[in-house]
Amino acid sequence: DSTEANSRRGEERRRGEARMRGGGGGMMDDGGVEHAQIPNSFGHELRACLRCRLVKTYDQFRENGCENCPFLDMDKDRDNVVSCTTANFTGIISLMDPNRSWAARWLRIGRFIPGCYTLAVSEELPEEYQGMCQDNNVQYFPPKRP
Amino acid sequence: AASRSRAPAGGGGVRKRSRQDNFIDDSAIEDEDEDEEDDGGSRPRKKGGGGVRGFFDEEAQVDEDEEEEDEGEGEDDFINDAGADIPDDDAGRGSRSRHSIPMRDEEEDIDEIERQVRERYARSTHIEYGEEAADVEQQALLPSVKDPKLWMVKCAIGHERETAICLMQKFIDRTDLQIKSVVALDHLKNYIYVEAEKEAHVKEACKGLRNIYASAKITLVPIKEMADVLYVESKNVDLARDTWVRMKLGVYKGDLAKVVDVDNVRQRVTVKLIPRIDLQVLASKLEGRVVAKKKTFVPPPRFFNIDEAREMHIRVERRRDKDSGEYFEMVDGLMFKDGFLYKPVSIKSIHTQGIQPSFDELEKFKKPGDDMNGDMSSLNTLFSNRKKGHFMKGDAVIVVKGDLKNLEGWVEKVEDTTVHIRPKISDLPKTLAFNEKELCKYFKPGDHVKVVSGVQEGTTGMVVKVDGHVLIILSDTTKEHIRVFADHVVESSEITTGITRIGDYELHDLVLLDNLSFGVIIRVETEAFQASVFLRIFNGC
Repeated sequence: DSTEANSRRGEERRRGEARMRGGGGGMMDDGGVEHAQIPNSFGHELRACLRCRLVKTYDQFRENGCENCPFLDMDKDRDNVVSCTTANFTGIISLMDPNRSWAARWLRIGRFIPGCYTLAVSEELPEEYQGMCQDNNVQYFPPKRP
Repeated sequence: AASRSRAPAGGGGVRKRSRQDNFIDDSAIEDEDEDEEDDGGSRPRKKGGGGVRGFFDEEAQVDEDEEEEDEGEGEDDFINDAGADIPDDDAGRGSRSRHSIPMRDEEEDIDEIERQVRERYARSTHIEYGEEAADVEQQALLPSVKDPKLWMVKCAIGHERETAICLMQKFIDRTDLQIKSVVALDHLKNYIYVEAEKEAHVKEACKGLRNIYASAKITLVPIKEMADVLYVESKNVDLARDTWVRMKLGVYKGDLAKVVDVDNVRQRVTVKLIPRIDLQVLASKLEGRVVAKKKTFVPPPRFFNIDEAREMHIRVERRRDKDSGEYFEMVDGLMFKDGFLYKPVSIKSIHTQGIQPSFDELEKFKKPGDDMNGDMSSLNTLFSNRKKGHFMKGDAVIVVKGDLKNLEGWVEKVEDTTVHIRPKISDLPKTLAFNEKELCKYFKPGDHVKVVSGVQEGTTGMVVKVDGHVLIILSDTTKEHIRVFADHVVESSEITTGITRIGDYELHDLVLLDNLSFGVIIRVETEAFQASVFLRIFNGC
């Protein structure tokens, strides 16, 4: 975990991003807990990452990428956001403590950082991005089909 | 083989044995040998005395001996006991790694080991890869008494998601919030679920939130129901092109439609419908004349005819749709092609599940010349609407999909979605398994059948022709040929007298019409939502 956090911190410093109030963006707030950005609206702009099911707005993905899946480069190319996220998702779970939460374990999101996630997405991650997951040694669970 | 303890033994008195002797097969002999040598008194006995006690001592000493002897070669025995076939070279290497695993009794339950391993790794904080494999049973993740509990909390209706997100924000702002997660389900209004160790944590978290009343009820969810809370129903029918749907609202309510385009982003689809256009009203509207719309009047479905429209002085434009690249006739903002109306609608305004297109509806949708049997989409809808238990033992069936198409047989066994049949051809194996979607009930000309679902329900008759899985039946009552899907029919010797009454009227009643003609009812039919009555009309004298 610490290696991941360190690399992220390094990236943030390089980009020299200003910290948003309550936004976090994978950074540690002073004395606080590392977490993903919280969606700043509730409407149709909300999207879920197809790999980790993190929920944010389109703009938040575009600016800061996905905190659990930085290799998807959502902040580099708008096409990545469109292909790797979907507005078609069911239910929201605000995850404060992934290590101890039973719900997180059941939904297989217990390894991700605190943030807002969705219970289920309806689409699969496109093949080329699934390949990127494998290249980065990262697990991808496609949504269950009946 | 006797169970042996594996505690490392002390030194001395190691008898050199050849590796062969340590094999299981020889263990019996081994024991005997040791016994004999013990009796020789070369080892000091712990306790004196004979009889039973002496016997016990021997046992103890035998164990000791075994330990010492097996010290260097113990791993061989271990390997052999487990039945693994590992070459001697590996024994040494194997032994080093095995010291890290607590030595287990051979008789320990395999299931017990599996459960412990799963528990161990389910809780560890490893790096992401190498953790639970995708095929770890979901069962292993069921909640236990050690997990936080789930509490149901009442909140402002319509604000469930907002509440969940607010609680997330609150957690970040304050370091003392002790809840673990908050769940807002799409289909559950008025409530959210909070995961926490204690009810007090939930109360504390909800204090001061605009969407949760101070007096809000907090209810504990029983542990057995926790997994059900997170259950998400996956949609069975993927909205894809060529799927059959039914309209929920408006002029076209209840009408069958075919999906031609799906836009998931905006949650809209374009569907193809048989237009219900009142050309008169349309013409008036376009000319600017205001016509009082009759609310109850729904125009009958009819294909759109450009020439007809033009005759009514309705302007028809030929336009190219930028998304699909195809040409449409545009009238008053509506798109037509080949007589069909192409209408963009929201996904919420259509029924996607349980669509049973009647034969007539499907027929109307097809242009003449289209092959009903070859239409995979309508077949798919038909098959997906089949009720469970559709096939029964003894049913005659025919394969309609795959390499064994057209093979006939009889149902031997039905298991969920797999059907085992006994094929008609003797050269094939006794039973073959098929997915139920690949089979269709089979009838021969001459079979007497009864229609049990669909538009023609209740009719009985004799099969005169089989065309794929469409049957042509000679009705007992009307002596007409009717077309039905084989799916909707069962073999039966029942002969129905058919429907003879509708409302107040009965077959062969003499009735008077509005305009002074009268007639005799010669036939009564029920269609999906209408009843029709056929009359032989006599002109007024």
